Amino acid sequence: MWKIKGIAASAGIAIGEIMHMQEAVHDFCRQVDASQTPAEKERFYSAQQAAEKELEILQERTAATMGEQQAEVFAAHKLMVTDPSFVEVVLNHLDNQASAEAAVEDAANEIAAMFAGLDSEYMQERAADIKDIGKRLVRILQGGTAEVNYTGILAAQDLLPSDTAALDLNCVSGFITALGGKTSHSSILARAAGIPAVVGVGSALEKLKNGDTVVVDGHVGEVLVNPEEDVLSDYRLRIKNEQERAALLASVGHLPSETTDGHHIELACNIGTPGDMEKVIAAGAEGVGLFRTEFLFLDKTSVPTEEEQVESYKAVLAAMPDKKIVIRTLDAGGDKQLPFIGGLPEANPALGLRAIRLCMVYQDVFKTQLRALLRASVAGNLHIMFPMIATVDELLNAKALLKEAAEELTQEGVPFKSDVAVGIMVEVPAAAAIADILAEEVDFFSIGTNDLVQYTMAADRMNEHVAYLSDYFQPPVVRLIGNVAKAAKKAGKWVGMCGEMAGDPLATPLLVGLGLTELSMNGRAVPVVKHRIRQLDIKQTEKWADDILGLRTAADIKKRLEEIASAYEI
Amino acid sequence: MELNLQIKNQAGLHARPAAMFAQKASSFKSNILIFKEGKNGNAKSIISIMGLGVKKGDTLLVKIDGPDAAEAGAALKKLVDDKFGEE
Repeated sequence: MWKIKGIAASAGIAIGEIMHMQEAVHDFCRQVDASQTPAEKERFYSAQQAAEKELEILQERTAATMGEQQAEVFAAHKLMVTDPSFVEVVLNHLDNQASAEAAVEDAANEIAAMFAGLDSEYMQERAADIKDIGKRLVRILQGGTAEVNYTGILAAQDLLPSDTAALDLNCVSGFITALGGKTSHSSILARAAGIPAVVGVGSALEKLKNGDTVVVDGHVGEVLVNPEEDVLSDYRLRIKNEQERAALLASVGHLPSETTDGHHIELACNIGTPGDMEKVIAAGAEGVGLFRTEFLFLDKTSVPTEEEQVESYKAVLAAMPDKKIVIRTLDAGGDKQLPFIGGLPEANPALGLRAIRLCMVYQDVFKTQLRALLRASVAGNLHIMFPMIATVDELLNAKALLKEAAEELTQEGVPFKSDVAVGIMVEVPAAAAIADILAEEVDFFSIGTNDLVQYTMAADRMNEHVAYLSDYFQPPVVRLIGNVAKAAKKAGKWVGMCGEMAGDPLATPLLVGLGLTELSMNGRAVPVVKHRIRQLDIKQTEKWADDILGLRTAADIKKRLEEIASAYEI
Repeated sequence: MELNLQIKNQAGLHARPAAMFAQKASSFKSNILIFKEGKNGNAKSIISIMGLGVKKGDTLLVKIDGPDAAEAGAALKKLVDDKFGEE
């Protein structure tokens, strides 16, 4: 057995036999003896027929899966394969003692050059089409699979859209590609289809032979080649476990998110647009823990109107009218510049005029948003959350502006709920340090771990050189979270989390033990975290949390949490 | 027989119209050649039609030689006059 390392592009494990995607081979003989010419012509005609048949299958399959419009390109290819002008050029080459391969390749290249010389983008694309036809014919002549019917583990240089249109995804159980990254077409396709994939393996791809038995581990980005029987049976067991796990997780969807001793931990979702509400409901979540309102502002050349905003906020509230919906006020500035505000470039955008700081400079924009939020409040259970609060004054100023907005609406006789909950996002270490003071002024806290980690560790989360610091299991971060939870509990306020850590099932026992009662995450993470919560005993988690607060390193904390996790079903 | 056809549809003889023209021409036994500004091509070939780069307003000379020349000429003229079904 040997291993190939690559990029984990689509999670899951697949076992199967390697089948290389056929690529055109270029080392064919170009000239033949004149006596061979009739035979070469026969070879050309039968390749032409095979190509027509392939294209017909492709056209039908694409029409069925992606629609008639997408299939049209293959109809055009079919016409070109039998086109009299193309055939004429091919036959000319054959009469000059070219081999069938050389004749189709040269003919395709000549016609492509003619098209490419014409002055339109459309013709440039046709040049690519005719070259594609040349490649298809050469492949068929070289004995490549005439029937497009890949099965097992597909190994390819890269998968282009036209390649993947030819795949029957029910027959392909895994992908390995030499090129590509997490966001390349093949990776996206694999994830969408739920097929394990390892991409970017480079030249190692060539060492794989058709028929090799491989394990594609899409979790870690590894391919095991010709593994021994005991390794294979390990992986078969893992596949079985994964299937059982998927079935189990599907079954917890409608169950309450409660610990074994009856404590309710609210599971909510993070969303970016009202359109995301469908996913929130499908995930079995109990509300929204973070609605980022930036989408209303970022693509606009002018401030969105109050009416526009009311409509968006109402849409989210009305989708789950009896559930808690936390809407965060505008978190722009820094690296998210607003076109209608402008502003000077900053040396340290993350530490600059952003979020609440920016809003308090552009109070007219901010007040419009607050008015819109209040007006929308009649549609459901609104919670307003201010981002980036670092001092009590910032919070008091924001609350004063909210009060002004409320007074205006009262005077105008516009209805709104007078008891809208107001909280802050705890993402600046300064806020965590004075959580006890801030707790007196808010109804809730929501911890944003992404920025909290960046600011606490003084490490840019996009800078790979300091990636070792960007870890929410770093003891200083865990202790700050504990601090915030303790202060909130003492003041009788609830505390939640809306950062990435909230959706990590490894962190769940720690967060519950520290006293968080709301976790907001991507819809995909909800079933796993819920299943974990349903196996926890709150008293036990509190002991673990105490214990973990005394650990010295992020690695120690992770190790402890892994030990805890290993005792649970998932 | 010979006839002149003026192309009136927006797209010229590109893409779908070129394919329709070639397919229509292919349904006849006669040899059909098209001429435009000194260049010529086989009317049954989508490739040679597209290679002529025919745009809206261009006039094509079509030479048809064969047993069904009259029918072929009428059918191609109708296709062009109907603007290939474009709006």
